[in-house]
Amino acid sequence: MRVLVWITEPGWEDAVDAAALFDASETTLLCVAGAASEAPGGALTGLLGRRREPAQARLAELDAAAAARLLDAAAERLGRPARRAVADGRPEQAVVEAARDVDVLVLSRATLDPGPRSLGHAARFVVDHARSRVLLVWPGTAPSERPPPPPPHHHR
Amino acid sequence: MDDVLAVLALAAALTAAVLRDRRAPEALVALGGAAVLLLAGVLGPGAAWDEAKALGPTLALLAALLVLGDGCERAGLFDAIAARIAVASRGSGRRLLTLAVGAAAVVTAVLGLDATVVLLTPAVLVAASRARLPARPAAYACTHLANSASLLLPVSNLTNLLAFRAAHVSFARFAALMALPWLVAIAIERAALGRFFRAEVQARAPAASASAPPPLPRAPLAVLAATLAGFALSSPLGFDPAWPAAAGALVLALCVPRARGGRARGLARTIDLPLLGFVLGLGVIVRAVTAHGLGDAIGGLVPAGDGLGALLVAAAVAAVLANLLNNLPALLVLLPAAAASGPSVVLAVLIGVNAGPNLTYTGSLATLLWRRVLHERDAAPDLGAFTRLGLLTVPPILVSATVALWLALVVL
Repeated sequence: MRVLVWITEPGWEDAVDAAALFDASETTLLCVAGAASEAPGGALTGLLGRRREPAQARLAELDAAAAARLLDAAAERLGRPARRAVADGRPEQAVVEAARDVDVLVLSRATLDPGPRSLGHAARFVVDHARSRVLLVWPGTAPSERPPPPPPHHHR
Repeated sequence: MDDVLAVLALAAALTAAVLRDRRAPEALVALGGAAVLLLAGVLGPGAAWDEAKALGPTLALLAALLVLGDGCERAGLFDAIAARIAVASRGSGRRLLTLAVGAAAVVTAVLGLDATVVLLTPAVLVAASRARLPARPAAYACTHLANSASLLLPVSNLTNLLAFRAAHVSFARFAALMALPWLVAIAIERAALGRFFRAEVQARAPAASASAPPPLPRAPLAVLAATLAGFALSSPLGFDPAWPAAAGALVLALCVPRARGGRARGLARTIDLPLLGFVLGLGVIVRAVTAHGLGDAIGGLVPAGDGLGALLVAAAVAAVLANLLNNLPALLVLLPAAAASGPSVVLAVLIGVNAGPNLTYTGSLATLLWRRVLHERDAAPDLGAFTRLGLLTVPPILVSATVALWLALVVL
């Protein structure tokens, strides 16, 4: 059985813990880098005329380093051999592509607030399009045992 | 005909600045465009020389600020900030965001937008990684505040430096009037970032090991404090603020020696001569553009008078123009009309050109169009989401900061 774990912040710990429950022949830890290099955005307008390439290169380096560090922490938590993969570009595309040849994909929701918004937009896309089975976990302790909202009120 | 030539020169300079193609460096294109306008007689040598003379001290001040920022970096100031933020976050995403916002606000105010984007953003990312917390909120805090928190001092943004001379207010009065708008902008950014990155901010990590962070290096802090004191004294004592900046840069460059051999080359790279050339060329070109009819047309957009309504309109016009053209040309185009309406309108225009660029993720419309044209493959983040973040921050900041400016003008 091949298991793919999408390592995201927050929630990677819970995804790894869930993956550890499977008797997997191969576990892959996938992290999509890019938090740093996407950030400058509008600031680049403010920097009109400046040489910003060195800064961009440095940010890409930091992205790669942060991803590697996160994967190290995830591998350590998993406690058994695992493949590590770093992807870049759009996270949802990278994860759907990587999930083509696995049996189970494990990913975490973005928030502890129950409801459709507990999935970020990339996670929503992955859940809708991944070919593998998908296991969703909560980032941290699952929400309290409040009953789910009642069904919508219909006119009689 | 003259109009067309001047606008073409402006378009060429902006295109070069956005494209950043090695074959057409923006400094050469801007200076070349200025030279063409001079040779074609669109702009008289007298007017061009006036513009160059007016820009000289501003460019010197900008160069000094770049050297100061670089010196602080080499003295380990940003490493120390990163270490302190990592420890002080104590494993809380919320605290990390607040610390990043605070650091970005202070660094932007004192060392300027460049220092925050180029030096502080990497430091904050290192801090987030060390604290094992999501880096996104802190990274966006830095890049957003580099624009919106560049309101406080004349040295916080190149646009401020250019406007400061036209506004004819003292350094201290500029800071006093802009203090409240600055604080309002920071508070709105913190609230909006916290809301936008709800999920990441809720993250918790085991607090970093209790080892004490390294102390902040004293030399750069002392030099910065002395330089700021020099700025404050410059207006009452009647010397140009470029002098204390140059003195500070010199002292810091001597305090923090470069590796042998790299000195001259490193210093030249830090000063960024092409940037200075670009700004000079752009200034001359815009002078020609505004001298030929277009100036009146754009001047008509800036309201006369300095009531609250006029200030709001000025800030909005500046923000829109900054998103169409980029902030520097927008400011240069609006400055003559704003200066004629008085210093309060100049400051409102600054709120617009400084906070406005956060509205569109890709930067100005000019940038966006060129990216599309060239099919440049970007990291392609989720544009819709980041546009929402811009909408969440920029309009409230424009309105609230301008109201704050108006209040400060009434009280002070």
